[in-house]
Amino acid sequence: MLAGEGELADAEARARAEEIRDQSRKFWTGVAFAAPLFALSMARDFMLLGMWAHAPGMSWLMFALATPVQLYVGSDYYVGAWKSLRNRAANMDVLVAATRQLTSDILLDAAAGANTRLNEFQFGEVSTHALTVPGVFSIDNTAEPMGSQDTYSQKQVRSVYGSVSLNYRGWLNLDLTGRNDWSSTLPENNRSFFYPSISSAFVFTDAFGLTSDLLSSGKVRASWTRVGNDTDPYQLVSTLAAQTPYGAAPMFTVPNQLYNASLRPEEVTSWEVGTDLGFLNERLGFVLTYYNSTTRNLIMPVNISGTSGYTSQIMNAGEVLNKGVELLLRTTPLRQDNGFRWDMTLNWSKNDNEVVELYGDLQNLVLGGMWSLNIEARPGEPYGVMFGNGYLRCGNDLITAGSCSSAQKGMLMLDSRGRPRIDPVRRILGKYTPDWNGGIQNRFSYGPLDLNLLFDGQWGGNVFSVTNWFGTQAGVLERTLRGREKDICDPGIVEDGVLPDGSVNGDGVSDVNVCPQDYFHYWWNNQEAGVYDASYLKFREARLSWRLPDSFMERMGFSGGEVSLIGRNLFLWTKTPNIDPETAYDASNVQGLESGQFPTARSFGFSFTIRP
Amino acid sequence: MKKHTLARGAALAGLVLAMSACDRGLTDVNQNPNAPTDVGPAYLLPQAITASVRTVFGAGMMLSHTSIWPQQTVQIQYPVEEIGQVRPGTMQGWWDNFYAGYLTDVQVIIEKGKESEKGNVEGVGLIWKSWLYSQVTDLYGDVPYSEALEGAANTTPVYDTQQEVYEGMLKDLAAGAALLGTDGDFGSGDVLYGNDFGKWKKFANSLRMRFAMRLSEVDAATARAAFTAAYSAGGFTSNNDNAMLEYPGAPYRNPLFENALCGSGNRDDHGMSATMVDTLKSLNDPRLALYAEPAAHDGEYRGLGNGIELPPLSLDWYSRIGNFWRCDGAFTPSAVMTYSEVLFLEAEAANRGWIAGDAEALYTAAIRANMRQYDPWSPANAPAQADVDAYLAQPRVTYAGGAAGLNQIHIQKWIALFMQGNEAWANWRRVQVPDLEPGPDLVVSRIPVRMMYPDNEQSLNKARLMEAVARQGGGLDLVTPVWWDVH
Repeated sequence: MLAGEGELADAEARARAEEIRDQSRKFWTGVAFAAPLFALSMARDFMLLGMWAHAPGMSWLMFALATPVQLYVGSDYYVGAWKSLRNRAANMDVLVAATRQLTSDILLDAAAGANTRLNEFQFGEVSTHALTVPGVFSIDNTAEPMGSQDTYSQKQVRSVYGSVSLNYRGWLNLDLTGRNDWSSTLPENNRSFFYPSISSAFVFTDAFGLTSDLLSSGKVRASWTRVGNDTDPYQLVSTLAAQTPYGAAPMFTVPNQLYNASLRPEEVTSWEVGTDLGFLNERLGFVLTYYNSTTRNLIMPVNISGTSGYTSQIMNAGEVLNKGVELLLRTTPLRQDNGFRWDMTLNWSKNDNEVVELYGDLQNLVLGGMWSLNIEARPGEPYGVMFGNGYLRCGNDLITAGSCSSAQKGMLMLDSRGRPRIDPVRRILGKYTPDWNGGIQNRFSYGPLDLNLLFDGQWGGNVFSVTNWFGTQAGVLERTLRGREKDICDPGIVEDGVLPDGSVNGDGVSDVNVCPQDYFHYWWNNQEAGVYDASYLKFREARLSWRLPDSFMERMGFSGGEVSLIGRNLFLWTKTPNIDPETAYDASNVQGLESGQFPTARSFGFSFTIRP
Repeated sequence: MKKHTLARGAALAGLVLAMSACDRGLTDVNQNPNAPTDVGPAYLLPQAITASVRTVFGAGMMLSHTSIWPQQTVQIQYPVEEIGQVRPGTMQGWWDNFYAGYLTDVQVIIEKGKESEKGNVEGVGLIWKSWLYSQVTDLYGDVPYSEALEGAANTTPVYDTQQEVYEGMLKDLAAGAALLGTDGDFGSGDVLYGNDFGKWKKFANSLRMRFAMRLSEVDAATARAAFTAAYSAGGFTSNNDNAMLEYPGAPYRNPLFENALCGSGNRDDHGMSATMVDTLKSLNDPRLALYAEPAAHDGEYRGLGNGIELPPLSLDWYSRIGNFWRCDGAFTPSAVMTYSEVLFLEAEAANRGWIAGDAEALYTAAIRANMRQYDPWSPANAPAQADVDAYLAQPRVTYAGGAAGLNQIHIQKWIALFMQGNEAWANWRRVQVPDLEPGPDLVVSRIPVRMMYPDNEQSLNKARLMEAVARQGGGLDLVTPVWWDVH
């Protein structure tokens, strides 16, 4: 250690100690004032102060106790707030609103405003992988050059917007909105985008006086919107990426992504129609919505051949269509005079997603994947199809080539060892988006007791389960016991399929028998073997509540309370073995992958609520 | 009423002001403060050299592909590539890294050298560009060369023939060597030769000799002419000229060391091939103790056969790769090109009658140079001088001359190129010496002789790719030979 270093270390230690002293002082001062304040106010609420609770000086006393805490202990926070306000206003809004009765039937609500928003992101990190002295977790104790990362980004969006809302006699509504954004993340000639919307609702039962015992309320609604979207900061110009220095040599590299100085904003156009109906004095409610949404000019990295020097180029490309139906049904099938009541809520939604086009002739965009199973966007398919190698089956090509006969169509093609062959031509093996989602909630209440049962699930969709796939290859899952009931290769596996000589395996005539280890190892390049149906039904929650008697609660000084027993994730019914298919791989658009997930836990608990 | 009008007016004025200022200053907000848009060549060269060398001499490319197929090492666990099954993602990854990574960086170096008229900068750029392209074309065959690296201007470059690529590389090397010794340097960025442009020149000429000899079977006339030109220009003259990339320490240590991380139990997937161990044992080669470790089970040197899916014995019966690279190899350099290889090339040229040298002297000198090439890094089991002399005195090792002599040159070169998988594999493909037996579990029709073109090219540059595939009679497989491989 050099002489100067010693002084520096001392100064740093002194400053740190000083700061600790300052903060400790503030803390203990705060406690000194806050403790009696807390005691007084709690005592008042629990009515232990008696008549003193409303003594004239009591509130002033509490204020006096609170002030030093705010201004001395909390001074750091106020100073900080003032500084940031002075330097830049993070989010500023101006809004002017007006309400006017235009005619006796028409009510107008209008608003106009402006907004400027600044997002700032700062990230700094120092790290090391090796310590000189074990157990001392300080960067100073690093045994190798420390890694560091320093990132700053900011983005500013300025907007003006306005809305007009007209209401005719309370049963017909028309809303119009418009907004224009200017974003710093887009180039100068393309950074402004305007997005309007129009929506309307019509309560036809009020309009035509159709209210009756059967149809107690009815509304139809429709809307159309167009929304723009900008992108992340710094997408317009390529920069060079610094690498950890090689010994004494600093290094940079040209990145693999080409940025684009002529980006345009993304655009989402959608429309929606729906109806809300109530029957039998609101004993049956029905909400149905159909929506259709198209996203265009997505700002996305488009793959290009790496031989150009870049593997992707940021462009406006692509069109994705999302359309679907959402249904909500509320009903009270049973309501008896003794107070017993059964309410049921059912919801169901179906979303059809399609990648209409990518970019020019581009036939696929790889979004992610693992172990050679890609998750891709392909025109004409839903976003997020699974693409990989699968089983080779007897099909028209092979029948023409004479490898199998038309009677064997659809059968697995086997190799000379009796293992299913892998199709070298990669193809679509599934998709991660489900066909539909739904849930049903039943609530039974009788007196103070309340029982709530929630089931929900998904139908359709696939998951690539690496846990099952690797587990099978390694022979640790129960299914790999097939064929080794007697000994490691005894009796072996006779797979049904077509052998290379065109004969059928498994018909009892010269069958080829393969050792299970050989059979399951060969799954290595066959991703289809790991793709499963992700449909599931879950008994999501059961909750039994008992409302505490009102008389008891009031005597305690509360207005009410209840005790509940809760069970969550009670049962799972699914076709996917060993794992829970309701899995999220990360927070991106690449889903449908599972690899060593933590098992979902069934949980039990209780809660105790008191309302003052 | 007046009150309201005032308020309303103020609000409207505020809005108008906001709108008029809506655009100002937004361009400045979007300037990226985190990274530069331009840097000097001194900062790009170390990346272009170290990243590519660490790939070519790492566990991924070398231990799992290019040193197992010429049967120098073997995969003892997960013998996937061992039996001829490669992962599409790996083929794609190398392709993208070479073109969009290392070659793009070198391209910028060459351009900057030209712009600033610094001959040394441009020269080194051209030399390294040729080394990079030689790796790409020896792996994949016909590849984009003349139209590559043009960015958005050409995203579907044509696939040049391998012959065109070799012509271009030989020309670039000669031009690059001629530019050296003039102006410019790389500061601390020349991690290979430390701004010694004399050595860069010898390296360029040595590479010319290597590429020229590669064409010996397919186009002997061109090969001879190119070789003699390079030989006259002069390649390496001693082990001091060796192109060895040294590793400064974490996070940059020898990739084979990083793969194994002995003691922390990282990976134990690779071992010695029976072909290599048996050859070394039968010749009493003093390099055995350096190249291999005795098997844990009984202290014997024993290799595992290549191309086998299930090793017949448990793994402690097989020798691992020598600790000089593996357990103790943090600072062991990667040998990009050595004096020993140059001497072997000259010996072969003399044997073929291309040059006037003494083939026997060159052959012997090549073996001696190889024995001593790692001395500066003090390996624990470096061959002793007495053992080297005894080795060379043996009748099987003594140069026989003629066709037998040529065979000896190839076998000794194969031994000397241990831990230089790409070059060993390329040389075996060219001359089919040593005579290798394909393993019993190979799923392809012969020991692989190329890498398959990456999948993405089939969607992103299909027409050009298919032209190349048609021209070569294959390429989406591992068994169609590249142009200079006539077998």
